[in-house]
Amino acid sequence: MSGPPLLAFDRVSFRYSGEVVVEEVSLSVQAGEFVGLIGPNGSGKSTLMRLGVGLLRPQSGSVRLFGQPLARFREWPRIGYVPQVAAARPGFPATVREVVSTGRVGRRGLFRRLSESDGHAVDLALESVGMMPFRSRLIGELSGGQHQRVMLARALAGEPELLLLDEPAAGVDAVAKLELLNLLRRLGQDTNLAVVYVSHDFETLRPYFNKIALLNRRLLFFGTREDLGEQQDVERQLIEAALASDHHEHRGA
Amino acid sequence: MQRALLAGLVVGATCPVIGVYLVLRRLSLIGDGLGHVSFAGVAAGWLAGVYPLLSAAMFAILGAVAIERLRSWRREYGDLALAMVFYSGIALGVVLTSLSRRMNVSLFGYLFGSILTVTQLDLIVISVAGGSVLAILTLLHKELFTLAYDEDLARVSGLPTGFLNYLVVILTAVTVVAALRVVGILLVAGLLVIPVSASLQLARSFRATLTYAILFGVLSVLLGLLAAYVFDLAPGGAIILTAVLTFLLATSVRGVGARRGVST
Repeated sequence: MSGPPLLAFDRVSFRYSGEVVVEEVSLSVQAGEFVGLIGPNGSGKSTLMRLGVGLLRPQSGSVRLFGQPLARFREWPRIGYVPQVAAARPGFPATVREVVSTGRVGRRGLFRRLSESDGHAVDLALESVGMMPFRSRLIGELSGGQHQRVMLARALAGEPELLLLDEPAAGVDAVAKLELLNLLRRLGQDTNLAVVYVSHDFETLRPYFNKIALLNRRLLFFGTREDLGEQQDVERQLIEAALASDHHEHRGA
Repeated sequence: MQRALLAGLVVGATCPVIGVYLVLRRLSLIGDGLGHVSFAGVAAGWLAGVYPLLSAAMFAILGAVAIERLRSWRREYGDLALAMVFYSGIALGVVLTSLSRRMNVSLFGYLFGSILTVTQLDLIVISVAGGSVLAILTLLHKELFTLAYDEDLARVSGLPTGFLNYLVVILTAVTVVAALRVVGILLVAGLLVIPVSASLQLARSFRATLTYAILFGVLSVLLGLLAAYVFDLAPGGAIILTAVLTFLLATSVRGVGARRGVST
């Protein structure tokens, strides 16, 4: 392992209107790692992702990207981010290819037009997620699953070193989900891409992750798949405990 | 008439381009708000003896900055920010007009447009303003497209979204002022929005949306001016009504296409 972590949370906490959403979370992601961020609905997974890419600022603790504090970080093209399916824009008058090309904007810099090599990277990204045949389709005409693949292509087009995926398989059928996971694993092996994959579908995804983070506002477990595997049923107990505490706190609130 | 035509063409091309970014970001009414703020600027210019388009530009830009400041402060109250600036502008305009004690007839030229009385100075100001807006929008095309698609993704791409948001509203203010003499304060938002709405009925890409919007904007100005000349109508109103007709036509074409089973 060499160099600083690509993403590091250090005792990060965040509250919405006084309610704690993320509490004292510390974890880090190294190059080439495939990290599953697992937790029930409302456990703070999306918030943690938004904290990781600077869309939210933690009230306490710190976030570092590629060794630099978030406030000083400027190398955004090194990061790819796919938000939840809620980001879909029905009726937006742009083709799939035009949307994916926005993934190159950060690499090119202000005032510069996208070049032929940018176009090549866009086509490559579309190919990799199987959306090339849809490149001239309007983005609003796609299904939820297709839209997520376009968003993934958009992120990949920027040739990131760290990819943060927030429920990328929402609305995607089982076959497409496995294809997506295999693609991410291949990219990790071929390009040393680090992936943080947010989901609550633990069982399907478990074989793909080499590190697992179990979150329910607090981090309940963070370690390798093997660490977790040595302890029979520990992840299930942890998730059940998380769900129980979630339920209890909501009732108590 | 030549000056009117040139001014109309510049405005007809510029308004829809900035309008595309406004409509897609659900800021369609910002042109209306800035038009009303510029009314205060025109009135202040009359009162102070300053060239009215200059004072209108100063007020509109200040209004634009205020709207964006309020909007970025509390995003969920974006329309409230617009309303605050909108009514402050028109109230100030009314008060300043009443202070002058003489409702100058020329003020109506700004309220309803007076393209046929465009002076050489007006034409220069309109051309420089419109040309600058088009040049900046062309240079920042990819950044503004990304921002229009998703502001969060634009931020994570490293784009200076705060700066770009302010730039869009300031360019809107400049465009509104450039269009004042052509369609007037009360109708300026129509030229920002209606050609875009027509374009959205037919376009199958973002590039096509921009192209059709410019086409419909320029066509509305040319045909509107022609109608005004032939039927002795108010040019500003004729231009906007022509834009509405192009929208209805585009909607019909889309409807026919859909009935024939063509995917639109």
